[in-house]
Amino acid sequence: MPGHTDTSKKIKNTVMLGLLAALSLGIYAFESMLPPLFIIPGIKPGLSNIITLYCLKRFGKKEASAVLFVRILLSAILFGNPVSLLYSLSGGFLALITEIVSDKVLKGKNLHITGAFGGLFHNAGQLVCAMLVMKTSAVFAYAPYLVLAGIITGFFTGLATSFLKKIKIPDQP
Amino acid sequence: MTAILVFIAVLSLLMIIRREGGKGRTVRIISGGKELAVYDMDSVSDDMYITVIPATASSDAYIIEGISCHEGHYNVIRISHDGVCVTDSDCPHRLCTLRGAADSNDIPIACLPNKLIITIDSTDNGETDAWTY
Repeated sequence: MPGHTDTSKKIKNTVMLGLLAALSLGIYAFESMLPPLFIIPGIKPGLSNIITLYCLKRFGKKEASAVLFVRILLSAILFGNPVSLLYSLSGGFLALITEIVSDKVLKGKNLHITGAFGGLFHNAGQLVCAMLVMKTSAVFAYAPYLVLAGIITGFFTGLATSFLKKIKIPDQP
Repeated sequence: MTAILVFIAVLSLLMIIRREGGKGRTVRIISGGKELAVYDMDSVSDDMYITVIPATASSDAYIIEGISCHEGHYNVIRISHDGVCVTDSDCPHRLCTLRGAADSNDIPIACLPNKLIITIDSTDNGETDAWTY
C-alpha cells in the first residue's frame, strides 16, 4: 500500500524532528552551563548549530527552521528572557539563511565552510541586535572578536555535522 | 568561498592586533543608549562606587552614588585612579565583573542583560600636550 508507507514515513520524520529538537535543546542547556570562554559577551561554542545544520542536510529548509524555532522558543522560556529570545532569533535565523545559501553555492560539499559562514553571520546578527537593544554603537568595538570567534566555532560545528552525517541511522525498527 | 572566509578572518585578526588601545581618562556610563554620567578618572582620588539601575517598564535608568542594595537589576561600578570595573551585578553570567578593570578604549565594558555600556575616552582627543616652535 503506497498510502501506508507515505504515512509511516511522515510519522517517522515527525518523531525524528521532535527528537532532534529535544537534542538541540539539551545541547543548548549544557552549553549555557559552561563557564564563559572569553570576556566578550556572545562568544560560545554554538554546539546546537550542529543539529540545525544536520536537519538542513537531512530534511531541508522548512524542517531545519522548525527545529531551530522550537529550540529557541523553548530555551527562552526555560532559561532566558524576552531579550535573550530576540538575540537568539536574530542570530539563529540569520545563520540558517546564510547556511542555506552557502550550502547551495558549495553544492552541498565542504560543510565546515558552510558552518563557518553560519557562525560568522550568527554573531553578526547578534551584534546588530545588541546595537538596537542597547541603542549604542559602542558595542561595535566587539565586532572583530565576534567575527573571528564565529568563523572558528562555526568551522568546528560544521566539521562535527559532516561527521554526524556519515552515521547511518537505521530506517527500519 | 574559502578565500572570502580567510580574507574576513585575517582582516578581523589584523584589526584585533593593530587595535590602538588609547589610554583614556573619561568614563562614560551608558544605560539603554542614554548617557547617565561622565566621570574623570583624574578627579577620583579614592575608589568611588556607583550603582546603576537599568530602565524598567515603570522607570528610567538612574544612578545611585555608593553601593546600594537593590532588589531588581543592578550593576555596581568602581571607578578608581587606575581604571574602572564592574564589581557586582545581578546578571546571569556576570561577564561584566569577570572582565576586570579597564583603562583604555579598546574594549568597552558591556553588560548585555542590563543594557549597560561603559566606555573610556581619552580626554585630550590625541592632541599634543604642548607645542614648541
